[in-house]
Formats: sequence, C-alpha cells, structure tokens
Amino acid sequence: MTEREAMHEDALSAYLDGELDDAARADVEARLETSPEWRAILEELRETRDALRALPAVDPPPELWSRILGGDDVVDLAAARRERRDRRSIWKMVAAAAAAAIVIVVGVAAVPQPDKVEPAVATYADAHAARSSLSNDAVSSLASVGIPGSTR
Amino acid sequence: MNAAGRLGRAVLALAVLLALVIALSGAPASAGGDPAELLRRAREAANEAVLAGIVEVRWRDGDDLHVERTGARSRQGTVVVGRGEHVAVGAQGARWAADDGVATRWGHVESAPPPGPGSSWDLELDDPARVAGRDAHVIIARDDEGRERARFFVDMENGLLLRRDVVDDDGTLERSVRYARLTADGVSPAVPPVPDRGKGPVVTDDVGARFVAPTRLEPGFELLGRYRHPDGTVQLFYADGLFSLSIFQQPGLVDWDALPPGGRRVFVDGERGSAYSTPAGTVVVWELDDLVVTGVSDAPSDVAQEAIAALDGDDGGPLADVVDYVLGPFGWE
Repeated sequence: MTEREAMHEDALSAYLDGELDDAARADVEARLETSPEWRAILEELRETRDALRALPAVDPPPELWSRILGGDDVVDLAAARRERRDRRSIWKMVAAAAAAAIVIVVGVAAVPQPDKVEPAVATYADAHAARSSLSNDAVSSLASVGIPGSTR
Repeated sequence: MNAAGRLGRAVLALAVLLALVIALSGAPASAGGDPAELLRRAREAANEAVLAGIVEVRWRDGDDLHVERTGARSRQGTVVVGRGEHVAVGAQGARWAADDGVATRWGHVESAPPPGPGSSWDLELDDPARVAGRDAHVIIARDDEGRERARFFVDMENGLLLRRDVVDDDGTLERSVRYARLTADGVSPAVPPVPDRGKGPVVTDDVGARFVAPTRLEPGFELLGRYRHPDGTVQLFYADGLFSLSIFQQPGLVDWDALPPGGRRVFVDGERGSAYSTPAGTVVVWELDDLVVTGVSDAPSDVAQEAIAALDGDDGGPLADVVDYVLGPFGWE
C-alpha cells in the first residue's frame, strides 16, 4: 500500500464509521462519485468490517486476570518501589555505620595514648632492699643486693 | 615481843613488800621475754656489732628453691654485704652498691619511725634454737587467723638477727636469710667508695596529682617515705613492723612483652599482673589508671599482693562498677 492509498483508506474508514464532519464527508462522497479506485477501497473496507462483525463473541478465560496480576513476568510497581526504598535505607544505614566507625577510629587515634613502660624489675628490687635496710636489719635486707647476678 | 618490836617488824615487812613491788613494776622488762622488743633491738644490732660471716639466702620460685651465699661484715657502724667488687654498703645511714650508683644509692633519709613489730602481727616466743653455732631466741609471727607466717631467730648474746624465715599461707618456706657462719674475730671490712656516677632518689613531700600515695595500705602497712628517682619514678616506702613494701610508679602502660622472663601471671584487684620471686622478695608489676605500678616486698607473697592491690583504694562505687563492666571487655576501663 502506498502512502496515498493509506490516506484514502483512513478517510474512507472514518467515512464508514461516521466520524467525519459534514465538509469532510461531502468531500469523500464527491471523490467516490468520480473515482472508481475510491469506490473499490470503500467496498473492501465495508466487506472487512462486516466480516469482523459477523465473528462470534469470545469471553476471556477466567484465570487470565489472575495470571496477569500474579505472574512472575508482571511487575508490581508498588512492591518494586518499596523494595527500592528498602534497599536505599539499608545502604544509608551501612554508610552511616561506616561513617560512625571512621569517626570513632579517627577519634581514638587522635587521643594521645599512654607510653609503653618497661619497669626495671631488678633495679627496683635492689632499691627497695637498700631503702628497707635503713629501717630494718641491714645485713638481711642488703643480702639480696650482695648476691652476684641474683637480680641484676 | 613488845609493841615496839612488833611495829619494827611490821615496818620492815612493809618496806620489803614495797621494795618488791617497785622492783617488779619499775624495772625494765627483760628483752628475753618480749618478742617485740627483741625484734626492735635487732633492727640496729647489725650496725653496732662486730662480725664477719657467710649469709645464705633461700627463695622459692614455683617448685624451685634457690640457694645463694655471700659474705657479710660489720664494724663501727659500717656494714658490707657481698664479695669482691659486688658489694652493698651501709654506713652511717647511707646505702650504696659498689657497682650500681643509682639503684641502691641512698643518703640519710629522714622518715617516720616504723610501726612496732607487733602492730600487725601476733608475736610469741618459741623454744630456743641454735643458728651458726649461736644460741638464739625464736620468735613466731602469726596472722589474724593464727597461722605462722614468719619465724625470727635473734642472738641471745648480742641481739643480732641471725635468721629470718617467711612462709606462705600453707606453711611452705618462701624465703629465708640466715647466717651460715658467724665470727666476731679479726673483722675489718674494707669499705668501697661511694660511686660517683648517677644520682640517687630524693625525698619529696608531694609526689604529684598523677601518682597515688595513700598513707596506709591494708592489711597494715604505714607510709614512711616518698621519694623521686632521677628518671621520674616515684617510690613509696611502707612498713608494717615486721616487713616492708616499696611501690614504684611510672606514668604509662606496661609493656608486657618487654618484661624480664620468669614472671608468673597473677591478678591484682582483678587486673592482669606479673609476679616475680626474687631474693629481695616478691615483685609484682601491674597497671592502675595509666600508671605502671611495681611493688616489692619481703612480706609473705599473699600479704604483699594484698597490700599492693590496696593501692587502688575505693573503687568509686556502683557507677564505677557499671563503667568497668561495660568497658572492661574493651580494655577501656
């Protein structure tokens, strides 16, 4: 079908359906009186419409809508929106938790930590013995200091 | 008998009775019957005696019993313990070691007098014994539960402390210092000079706010002195009459990996600690509020540990308990 024939068919289909205003209908009728081509097209359209109208009416199967509404290939837009919203919320919470963790780590790192100390165990034992000997028996108090290699 | 005779005899009897009362009440008590007095005199006897001997030190570390011997001499107030170049010296209130001018160097330290020997312990005399060939009084020190925790042997002739044993709460010997041989002949100790390197600790009245210095540590240790060492370490010296305790404090946290080997894991006031058994006594290292605390004591180890833990004092009440409970697992308490 050429573009021109398609235009004729649209005009004639509208003429058959009574959808044209008075001027357009008068114009179509004038073409029909002078053009055998228009008359042939009109006849084909009328026969096709009559054939479709002659077909028996068919009711859709009862499970059709339930299949449509419950089918896996059908998108529940409301549920989809809720799912997207939930996913966004989860990611927001994860991001917030990560940010809080970073803040805590940075905060702890920024607080000055006490120095690690290695107490001089042997030296302190000697210092105690020496001080103790000033208040107690000198020999028994200093004996530990006088043992080579015992505490130093 | 006439009246005058009866009166004279009555006066005589009264005079005798009065003299007897005065003799019993006014005469100085014999040190031989007073264990506390025997121990008090023994504190100074070594400084006054003329002696030379071999001193044996025993100390238990777990299942091992270590035994070491060294020399001891005393004359005219100078005491030298050790051999060769490795000696500790006490002279006229000063203390130093010939090869360590820092750890043991002390000048004349003014401090509060120590508590009486019987202030925290029940003292009693046991049967006499012999130590290093000399007769000795034996004094037993018992704790509040009546358990024997220490035994002192004091020379009957010169009041010298001949032997001192310390036992744990099961009665097992923890530490002993005794004369293995003792003589008073030909004593003339060579006194090494005071080492000139390093500086000793100085007396301080104020250790600063970041340190803890209670005047008493249970079960009976009284604070006798506060000292600051050249490296900033604070030393507190306590005594309970029989034993002594030093608390060393340094700002910081314990570098557990750098501690000397041989320590055993202990818990002081619920916190991690490391304990050592040394010839000087029990040494405990632990942490208290960003302070590294090292306690050294010649007391029985459980008594020493109790006193060291008492440094924590009041735990701050229920709120502190809650904070400890919540932050404890993270090590933030």
